[in-house]
Amino acid sequence: MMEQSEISEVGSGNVSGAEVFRSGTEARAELKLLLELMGFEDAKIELFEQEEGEVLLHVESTEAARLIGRGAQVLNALQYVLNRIMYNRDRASAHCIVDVERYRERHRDRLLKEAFDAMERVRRSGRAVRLAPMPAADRRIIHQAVKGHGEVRTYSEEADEEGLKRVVVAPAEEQDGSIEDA
Amino acid sequence: MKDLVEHIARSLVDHPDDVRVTEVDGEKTVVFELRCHPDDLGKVIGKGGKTIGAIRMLLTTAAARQGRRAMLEVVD
Repeated sequence: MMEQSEISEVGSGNVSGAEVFRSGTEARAELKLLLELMGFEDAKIELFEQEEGEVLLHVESTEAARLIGRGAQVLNALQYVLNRIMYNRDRASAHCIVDVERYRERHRDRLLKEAFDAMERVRRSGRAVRLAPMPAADRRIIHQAVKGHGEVRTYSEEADEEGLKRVVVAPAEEQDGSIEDA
Repeated sequence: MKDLVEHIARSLVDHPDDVRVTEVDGEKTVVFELRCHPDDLGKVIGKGGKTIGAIRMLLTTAAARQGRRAMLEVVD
């Protein structure tokens, strides 16, 4: 499975491997219970240890689309509630990433492609490109993908009505200020 | 659905025994009222309503699976 990264909201820094596994096993049982209470009895959950004391809980379900939700809203709510519950029980709980049918992995690949396409456009046209509004975790993936490529830079524009910011991929040196929408 | 809300709320608070969830059935929509110890309100609601928003999202998903609509209100 691909390496996953995300800003950890709660959880721990220096936990041993055995602790992470124990903590992950408890989180898996809790996630199983949450899914059952939601009516998704068929869900199967696999546990993977990630780098930096994180745990990935991968869910397989025949109702994956419902569990992911529009813009991964349901998936993110599940992950958030699970981490709050585990943290309330044990302040040293490992941070859990919840994924359904590899949605996060596929989504990350799409974002990377978007970032590289935008960079290519900026290089060719010399004009800045504005991407669609997206949540902070997604913007972070774009910023990091572009970082280190000297001739382009990124910044976030102010939030829209729904509170989402947009990333602008721009030439490293300031141009005339015109921005194209991606 | 009531079990779901009760379980999540009890797992988040310092006074789980004070969590009460009541169900008000409407024609198409079922409304859940959540009560808890005053000191736990912040834990249930979360910063900027993030926690209660996430609980509502899970409740809505559980309800939609049964072709129903559900609402969740915190009563203090």
